[in-house]
Amino acid sequence: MKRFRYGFIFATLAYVGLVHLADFVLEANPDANWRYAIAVLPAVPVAISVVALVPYYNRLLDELQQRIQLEAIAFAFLGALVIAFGYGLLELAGLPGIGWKWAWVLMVALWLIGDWLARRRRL
Amino acid sequence: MSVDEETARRRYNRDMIVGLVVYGALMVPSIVLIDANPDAGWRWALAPLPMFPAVFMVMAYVRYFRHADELQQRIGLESLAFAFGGTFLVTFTYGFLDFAGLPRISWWWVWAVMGTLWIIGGFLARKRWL
Repeated sequence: MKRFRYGFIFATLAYVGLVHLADFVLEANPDANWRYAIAVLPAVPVAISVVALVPYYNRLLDELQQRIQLEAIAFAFLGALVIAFGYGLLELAGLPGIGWKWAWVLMVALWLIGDWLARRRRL
Repeated sequence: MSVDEETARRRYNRDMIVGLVVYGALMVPSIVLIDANPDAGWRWALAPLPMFPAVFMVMAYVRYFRHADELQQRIGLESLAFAFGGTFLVTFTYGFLDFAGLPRISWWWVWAVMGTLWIIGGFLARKRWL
């Protein structure tokens, strides 16, 4: 648990640092070929955190907590699937395109709601 | 598989087929009509119509899931968790690439990514548990 917590804090700091670094470098070099490689750098600590969550879930959460988390994720996934599909359809009709960064924000928001609902149901 | 699970699976298969047929029946005319009348006011009502069969199919999945046994539920939840994590990473990463200048992609493709990762997650979870 301690290791995971420190890892998570380190990943968050690395993410914040890399976002600022990428922002600074991209502003200064808007036409460089390598800008895409710099742009994805902040995603690296996030990807490592997501992968690290799996053994954490398997080892440290008990059966009931795992079930609650999986149900929360299932709720968030299916909710995001329907909303993304719906917005895609409205884009066909003429609504403006929105960046993909809002898709993951939506997923996390639905995860929090799903977590609250699953806890209310199971605890 | 118990009789109850067998009935649930049959119902799920039937609902998915019905959902897909209705989806196709709504989606094709919807695209054609909106393309032909890009400024009509009614396009806002027409465009989201294929949402109904999509929601119906999601509900069919949830209903089936509730009747599935413990192992099938675990496989189902793990495949969704895999797809959730994967979609999170893909959309998160592309958000940065969008910022760097890559073209903005329609949200239509977000759910395509989600569906593809769900299928891959299902395959991996089944390989792990069965």
